[in-house]
Amino acid sequence: MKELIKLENVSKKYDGRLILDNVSLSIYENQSVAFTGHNGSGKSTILKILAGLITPAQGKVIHSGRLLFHYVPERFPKTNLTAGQYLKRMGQIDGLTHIEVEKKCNQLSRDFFLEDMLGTPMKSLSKGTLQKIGVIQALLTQPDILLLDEPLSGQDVDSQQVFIKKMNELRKNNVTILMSCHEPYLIKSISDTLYVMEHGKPVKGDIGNLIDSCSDALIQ
Amino acid sequence: MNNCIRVKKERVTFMRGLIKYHIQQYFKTSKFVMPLAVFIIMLYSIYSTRPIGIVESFVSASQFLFLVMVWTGITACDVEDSVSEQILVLRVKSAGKYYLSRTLFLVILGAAISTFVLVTAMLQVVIHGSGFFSRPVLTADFLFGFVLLMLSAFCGSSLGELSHPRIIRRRKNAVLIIFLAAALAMIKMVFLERFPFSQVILWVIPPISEMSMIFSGQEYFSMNSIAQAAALLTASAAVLNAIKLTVLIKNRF
Repeated sequence: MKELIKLENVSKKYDGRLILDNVSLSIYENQSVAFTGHNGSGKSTILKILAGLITPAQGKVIHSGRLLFHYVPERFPKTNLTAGQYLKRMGQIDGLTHIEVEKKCNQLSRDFFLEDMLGTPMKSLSKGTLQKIGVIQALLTQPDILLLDEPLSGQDVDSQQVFIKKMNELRKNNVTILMSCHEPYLIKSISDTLYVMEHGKPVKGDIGNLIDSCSDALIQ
Repeated sequence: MNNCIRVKKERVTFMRGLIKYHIQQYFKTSKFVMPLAVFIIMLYSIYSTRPIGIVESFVSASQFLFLVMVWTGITACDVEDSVSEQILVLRVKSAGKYYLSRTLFLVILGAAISTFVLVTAMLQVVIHGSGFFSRPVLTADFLFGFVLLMLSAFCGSSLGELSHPRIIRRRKNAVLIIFLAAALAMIKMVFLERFPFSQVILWVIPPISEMSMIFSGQEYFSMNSIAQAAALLTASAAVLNAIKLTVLIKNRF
């Protein structure tokens, strides 16, 4: 399998606190990796370092070429644009034509039960709806790597099922998924590799033995 | 060859998409209202004296436009959220391209306001006749005037963009520092006369007060003066943008 990202002896501190401690890790094409752990354990930090959004204090991050990341953040920002306007712009930046964007937005908003909300300003949307917009913008076109930071935050059960289905479709299309989350059932549904963040290091976990309590994930 | 054309087309497409996104984001807020209102009032005060020298009026307008674009650059930095920035930087696979798109958005805004100034001047001539300016207006006046206005606007927005939260972390400090720099830009020549040694630090401040010196007493725009002004303003904007880009790419999220 092709190695897409390699971390070599990466460390990161925030306000004097060691978040990542000499981490070495490789991410391969078509892998679906989940990072779990307590709040503040470095899950989001390691995702951002893998994407190149954060510079490590020490160590190297090596990408095999210019990778296209689509990012679903933990808290999608509120803007004055309507959901439809925002998605249209993202589609245009991705190189879709006007008709393609329209078609894709309509299809995805139907799938996520958002058809009636495309005309609503994003600053007026609920947390869960905003998060759905965050997911939809990442699905407009196919990236090399999908970065998911607590992607199901605030979403209803039906939308969660749609999300899982979409993720598994992307996996079949060779998209690599990197996810930070607390939900064991989500990890079991879409991930093939689990790391539990402990004391600044990602420790390989056993998805097969994962039970519905994030602090009880068994470590190999 | 087909691959090169396809790649160039992709670059133009996403850059166009990014610029439209910045325009839509900015104008969906009301942050542009105050700078624009203040500029219209300033323009009114310039054109309330008749007859007025053409060169003199465009130089004054360019100095006011510089200040307004500093303000616009600061408010444009307020509009963009850090998370949105991350999404887009990853999407276009390059922080440099993202920040270039923001600069181009502000250049387009500066060009639009510069055009507004010229149209206002033209309308004044149409309404008030030949008595409005101290001499008949030439096409070259509008051409050179546009160059001066645009480049002053570019300098202003470049300075304003240095208030980005990852360049100056605290918002209050950012606004104070940038406005201090803008004020210094307006009085730089006077300051240098009194304190010549300050040239060591003040070279980085945009050469706005130099414009009064370059065009002092001129009834017509001369090629030499315009070339000198254009070179100084372009160099200053280039340095400010280079500083911005270097710091933003080095200080990631």
